[in-house]
Amino acid sequence: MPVYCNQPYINMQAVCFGYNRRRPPVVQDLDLQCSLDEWVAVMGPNGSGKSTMVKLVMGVLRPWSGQIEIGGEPSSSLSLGQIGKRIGYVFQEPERQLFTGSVWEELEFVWTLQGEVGEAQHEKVRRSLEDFDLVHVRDSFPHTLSRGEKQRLALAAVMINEPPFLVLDEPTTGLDRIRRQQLSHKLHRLRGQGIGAMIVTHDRKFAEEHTTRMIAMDRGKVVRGE
Amino acid sequence: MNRWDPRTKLFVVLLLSSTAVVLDDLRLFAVLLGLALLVVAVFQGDVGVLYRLRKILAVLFPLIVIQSVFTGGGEPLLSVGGMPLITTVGLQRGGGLVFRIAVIILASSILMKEPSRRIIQGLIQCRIPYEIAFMVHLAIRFLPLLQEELQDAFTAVQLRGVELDRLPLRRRLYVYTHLFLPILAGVVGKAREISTAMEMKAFRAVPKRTSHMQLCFGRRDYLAMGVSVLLLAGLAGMGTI
Repeated sequence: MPVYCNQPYINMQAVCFGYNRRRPPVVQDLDLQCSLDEWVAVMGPNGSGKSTMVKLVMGVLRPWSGQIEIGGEPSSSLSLGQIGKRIGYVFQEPERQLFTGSVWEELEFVWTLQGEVGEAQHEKVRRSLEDFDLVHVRDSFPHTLSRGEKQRLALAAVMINEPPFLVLDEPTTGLDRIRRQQLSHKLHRLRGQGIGAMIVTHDRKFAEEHTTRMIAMDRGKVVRGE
Repeated sequence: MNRWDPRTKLFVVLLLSSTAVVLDDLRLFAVLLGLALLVVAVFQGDVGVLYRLRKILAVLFPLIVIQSVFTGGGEPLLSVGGMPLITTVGLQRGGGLVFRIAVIILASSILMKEPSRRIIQGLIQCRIPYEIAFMVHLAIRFLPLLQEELQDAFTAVQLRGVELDRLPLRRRLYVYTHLFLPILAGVVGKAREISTAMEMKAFRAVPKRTSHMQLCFGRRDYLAMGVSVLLLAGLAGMGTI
């Protein structure tokens, strides 16, 4: 069942993908549009194709057939780096996207690579540390942080690039009630800043709190859009 | 069902690899490669490795040039501006290196289809302590995981908005050094999980382990080892004449 809304930023049309050509596709005839003014929750049982769909959106996997557009451009013409600038992606295991020796360096990482570190960037890092409650761990080694802190750091590191759209993969996994509330608070603030988002989650309550639309997937297809 | 004793396979792999290290003549290397192919066919190894070996050919020419430029001696076969680019010594060494890698990978492929339990049992019956045998097995199983971790880290860094192909080489190298951190963290995490799981299953709870499985050499195992020794010793002998 196709789900439509105005001015799609992510536009998937008749997307088909599988991990093995001799087996049935994991995602089949998937139509999904998401615009910048909405927060979409993607729900569904294990093996329904949610994570595969996210990897297709992020360009990590290439579809067998069908079209994926990001901001009006075919994703097949974009490199992973270009997609990363258009969509901020927070992994289910945030430690997989932390690369440096300290929280401060992590937030500066992309600018350091581009040779663009200056006072303006330092100021942005300082603001980001405050926004994501990471001031007290600014010199800590990211891999020694708690799960909630790692997740906030991954989110901060992604948001510092100011992408117009955010994809969160199972953001509440492994978080206790307090950490979950802290995450809710951050997401609520991000939503107020006018960016769009797609949240893959099993947590219906969390999805209801944070999203404007919920879709359900089963066997690689969108079976319900609310 | 493949019923070769895993110790026979280990022995032949060791023998082939050692011969590949000892040899230094391209014609003999070609014979050795032929023997390695025969061994893969006899022991029903992973023939698919042949297809993957084509990637090694891509480094053949650069290796020959490097060896020719940085190793003195030999007859120049191709010179540019008076500088020898390809020499007979470079051809010999570069080609030899590629042959060696090909033979070792091809030979190891016969162990890939062997169930790990049988390999461990083979090592134990060769009087290697169980812990060491198990560690060897784990290390082999970890290799594909490491490759996966590396690929994931490479993807993750790009999804942070880093356009690697646009970065100058110096900065790209800087990125590569940072990839090791999440890989190391992932591997240490997995190792910790495995260690906990093993403790939970009472690994090393008793000083001596017993096993239901007992491997026995058959007549054809002895025959295969004998033929391998004769052929490869002959080949190595020809190389030293």
